[in-house]
Amino acid sequence: MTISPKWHLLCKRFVDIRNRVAQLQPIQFRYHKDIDPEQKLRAGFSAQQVAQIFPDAVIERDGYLFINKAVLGGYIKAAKG
Amino acid sequence: MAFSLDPSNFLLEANEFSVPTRGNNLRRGQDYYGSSQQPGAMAMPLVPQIDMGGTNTLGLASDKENQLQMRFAGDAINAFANIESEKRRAEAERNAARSESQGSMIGGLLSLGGTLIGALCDERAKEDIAPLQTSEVNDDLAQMAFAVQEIRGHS
Repeated sequence: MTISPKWHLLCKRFVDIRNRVAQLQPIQFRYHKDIDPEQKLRAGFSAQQVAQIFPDAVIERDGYLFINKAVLGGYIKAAKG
Repeated sequence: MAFSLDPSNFLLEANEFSVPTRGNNLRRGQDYYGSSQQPGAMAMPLVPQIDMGGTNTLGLASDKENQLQMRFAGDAINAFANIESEKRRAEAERNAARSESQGSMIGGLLSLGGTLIGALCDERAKEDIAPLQTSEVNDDLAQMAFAVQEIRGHS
């Protein structure tokens, strides 16, 4: 049985994305009080770390880094298969 | 000027829904005449003439002048109203475009064009940072974080 080049490329891409997603380090954190007065414990990522792995999933506004949820969510969905 | 100085007559004549009579110099459908369809123009009026009982050709020159000026005044008022409304619409569009291009941040979420597209994840805006164990908030970002943790557990 032979694997078509297209299928081989898809598999390679899937493995690549999955490896990169696995490098993400989920964290728990609280926002500073001026952003979230209740300071709830939240789950997420460090934008600085995400930018090293998925630069296109990070947006910079007013000097702060934001995660583009649609882009990062797409990578994670692809990695879950 | 075609309008009367008497306030009650002025309102009657300025009202586009006024019923044409022999006394108020109004013509039915006068608002539908453009400037190219003034009396004397080649284009035919869209609405037939009011039946004046065979007296259409009668009347003083000043009366006809009044009718003409009434129509000019109506066109001018319409044009002024259109220009003003167009100016306000353009200003509102400029303001909307400006706010969209700048984006806005509310409660750690980045809004662009009215759509929430980003979450503030800058380390400088956070404290008590630790490896993920639990979360009090179940938002999109939390679901992604737990999904990644699951993937890391399998790999």
